[in-house]
Amino acid sequence: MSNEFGYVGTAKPTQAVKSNSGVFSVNEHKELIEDKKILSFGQLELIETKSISGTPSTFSFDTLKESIYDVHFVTITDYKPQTDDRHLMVRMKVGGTTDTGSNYRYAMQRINTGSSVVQSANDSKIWLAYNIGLNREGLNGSFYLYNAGDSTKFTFLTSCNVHFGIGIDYNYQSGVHDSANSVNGLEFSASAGNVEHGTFSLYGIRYS
Amino acid sequence: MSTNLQLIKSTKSTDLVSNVSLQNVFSSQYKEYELHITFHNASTNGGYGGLRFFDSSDTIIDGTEYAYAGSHLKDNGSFDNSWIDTDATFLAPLYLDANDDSRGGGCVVKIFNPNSSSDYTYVVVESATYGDGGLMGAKTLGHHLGAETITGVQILNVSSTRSLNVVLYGVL
Repeated sequence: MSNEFGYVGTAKPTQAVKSNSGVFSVNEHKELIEDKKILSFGQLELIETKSISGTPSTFSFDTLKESIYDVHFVTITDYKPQTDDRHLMVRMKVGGTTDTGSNYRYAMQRINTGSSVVQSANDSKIWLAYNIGLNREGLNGSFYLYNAGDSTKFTFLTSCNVHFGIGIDYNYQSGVHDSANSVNGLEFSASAGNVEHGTFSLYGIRYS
Repeated sequence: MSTNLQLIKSTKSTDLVSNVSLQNVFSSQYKEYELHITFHNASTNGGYGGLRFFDSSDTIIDGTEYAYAGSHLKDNGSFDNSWIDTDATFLAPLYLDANDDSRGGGCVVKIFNPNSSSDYTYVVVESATYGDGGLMGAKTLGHHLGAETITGVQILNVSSTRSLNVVLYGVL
């Protein structure tokens, strides 16, 4: 870093978030932001927004910046499958490759006209929602992802989604990729057929 | 509409602790807060997490002033919906059945209206951890049964000490 923060000599203060000293010029402040050494406005940092184009079989985020963030947040807006009444799944990518092994567990509470539980251990995916309609209002929701970048821990998620399937359907759930690996991507797909419509945004939560 | 998060305070511990307190952290600047908890390890399998608040005198509120309704989600077996209380000394569960194998886990606690002296303070929780029995999730709603200004929050590790990161954000 080039600046002296108004100090002379060699005993410059160490700059760190919530522990800054000195009077900063505009350029110094910019340098501190770039070096993540000063608190900047907003810790919900957009990594990527992607909209489904065409009718692909899968839809992915291939960069989580998992070495920076311990907690991620994903929003899903107006998602629809290509075929009516299909479920939406998420799988983790390890080393850039989607893990399709039996390394997932989930527990979902559905709240609809017939409240039900969806749960599984040693599964090959995590369902985010069931019976999403093609010609209805689609799915909107979000989930948090925990520990993705820690190769010594499992990667967890908690989610809440609402959609109009066979009537109004709200669900909340907890899930885990129970393999101690660094997760560096997410892949979404439908239970059968392709995905067709929706916008997904991936955020990292700084200092988590 | 919420647009972003702003860091207020964080504490990160690799030591096993029975509780974590964040004091003098709520203000008129925000009406909503997010508390993010990630786990490193626990002293033993089992146990669960609770929450209570500090009042405007910076004194812990440990009377029977909390009500909650929570569900314990599991990847197998019936969900436990018996986490209900109307006069508890703390709010629970934030998280359930951590483990001593350093498998991690996460929890988000949303806190509403703590700075208001005329409203109750409300809490919504979601979490995922991993115990010997597999995946353990929690979904909990609750509130502090008193219209008073809340200035801080304490996370309690019940029946097990844990090492964990606790980070508080204001919701902009």
